[in-house]
Amino acid sequence: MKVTVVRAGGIAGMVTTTTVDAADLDDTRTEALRAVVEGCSFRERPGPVAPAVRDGFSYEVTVDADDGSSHGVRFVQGTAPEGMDALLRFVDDEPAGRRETGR
Amino acid sequence: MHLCAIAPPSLLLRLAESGSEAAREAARETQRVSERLRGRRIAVARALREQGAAVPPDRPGVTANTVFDVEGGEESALPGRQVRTDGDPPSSDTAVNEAYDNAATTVAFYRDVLGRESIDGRGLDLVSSVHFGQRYDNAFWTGEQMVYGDGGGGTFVAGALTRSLDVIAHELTHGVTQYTANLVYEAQSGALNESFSDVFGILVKQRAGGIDAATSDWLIGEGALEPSLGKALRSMLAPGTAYTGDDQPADMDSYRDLPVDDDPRNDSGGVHINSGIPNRAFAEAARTLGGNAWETVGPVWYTVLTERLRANAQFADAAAATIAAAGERYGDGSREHDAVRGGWDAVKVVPTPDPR
Repeated sequence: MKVTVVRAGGIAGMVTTTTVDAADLDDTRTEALRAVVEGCSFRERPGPVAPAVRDGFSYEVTVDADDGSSHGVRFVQGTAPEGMDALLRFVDDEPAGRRETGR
Repeated sequence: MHLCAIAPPSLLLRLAESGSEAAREAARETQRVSERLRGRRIAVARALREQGAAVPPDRPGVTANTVFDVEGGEESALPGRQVRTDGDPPSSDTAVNEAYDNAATTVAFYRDVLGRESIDGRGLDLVSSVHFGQRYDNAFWTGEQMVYGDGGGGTFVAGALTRSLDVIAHELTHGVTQYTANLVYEAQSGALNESFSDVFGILVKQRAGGIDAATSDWLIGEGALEPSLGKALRSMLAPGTAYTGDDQPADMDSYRDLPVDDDPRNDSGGVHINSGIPNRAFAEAARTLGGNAWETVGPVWYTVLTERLRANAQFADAAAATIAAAGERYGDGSREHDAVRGGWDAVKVVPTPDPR
C-alpha cells in the first residue's frame, strides 16, 4: 500500500508531494497506517458555497492498494473528508515518508 | 449593526451544517441577515464616496487587536483562548506578541499612510489566532480572522510565520481586498488578489524599517523558509528567483495559463504563480521613482484596489487603472505617471484601452 499526499497553495504557493510506502514501514506502523486508511472517507464533503479562505492549503490524497486498486480525493483545507486529517498527520509524521517540492 | 460580530460566521457555518434542525435554520437566517447588513453597509459607504463625502468609521482609532491561542487545534477550535488584547502586558509567548505587534503595525500603516480604519475601513476588530495545528507550515485569512501555524514542518523555519511583518500584512490585506475589490480568487483576478497582498505586505515592512525603494530587497518572507529551500517566498523584483523551484513568471511571455480546477497543483489557475507579473510591475515603477514606495506608487495601488477594480479584473484592467490613477494623482505626463506605465511595460502587460 502506498499513500501519496499532494499539498499546494498556502501563503508560499508551493507544491509538496509526500509519499509513504508500506514497504518502507515495520509491521506495527504498517498496521497503524492500514487502520488510519480504513477510517478514511474518499467522498468529497461539500464546502461553503463561496469560501472566503485565502492562502489555505488544497490537497490531493491517493491510496494505492496492494491489489492494484486506487482511491483518491481532492479537497481544500477545512473540508477534509471523514478521517482524512488523521491520514494527513500520519503522512506528515512518518520519518520514512519521501517528500518532494515542485509542481 | 454589529450583529455579525456576536456569533463568528465559522460558528454559524458549523451550526448551519450540523446543529439541530431549529439551530440550523436559525443559523442560516442569521447568516442571511448578516450578509444583508454587510451588503447595506458597503452600499452606504459606496454612495457616500460617490457623493465625495468621507465615509465615517464606526469607531475611529479604537480597532481592538486581540490574539488567541488555538493550542494546536484546527478550524473547529478557532479562534481559541484569548491571550492578549489592548492594554494587556506582553505575553510570555513570543508568537502571541509578534502576532499582536505586527497586526498593530499593519493597521497603523493603513490608518497613517492611507487613511483607512482597519480591514473594512470602518474599524473592524482584529482577530488573530496562533499555534494553529501541529508544526503547521502556513498562515491564512479565513474571511474573518488571521491564523498562524508554528512552522517547523519542513517548509517554514519554526516561528517565522508570526515573526515576518510582511507575511502578517499580506494576510491582513486579504481582508482589505475582501471588503473592497473582492477580487475573485482564481486565474488573473486571483493573481491580482495575491499581488495586492504582497504589495501592501512589502510596503508595511519597508515603512516600518525605513527602507526606500532602491534599498529594499523586494523579497516577501525573507528568511522564513527552511534555508535549504531558499531565501524567501517570492521576489517582487525578480520573480522566479526566491527559492529552488520558484516558477513565478517575470513577464507575460512566460505567463502560466493553468486551468481553474480542483487539482491542487494548478493553484486555482496560478494565483500564487502569475502574481509575480503584477508584483514586478509595482516594484519596477517604485524603483524608477526611488524614495519611499509607500509615498509614491503605494497610494496609487491603494486607490485602484479600493475604488477602481471589478471583482473579475484582469492584469490589463489593473494596468489601465493604475496608470489612470497615477495620472490623476500626479498629473498627466508626470514622472509618476510614466513610471507606472513603464512598470507594466516591463512585464509586457498591455493596458485595457481607456473607455473615456
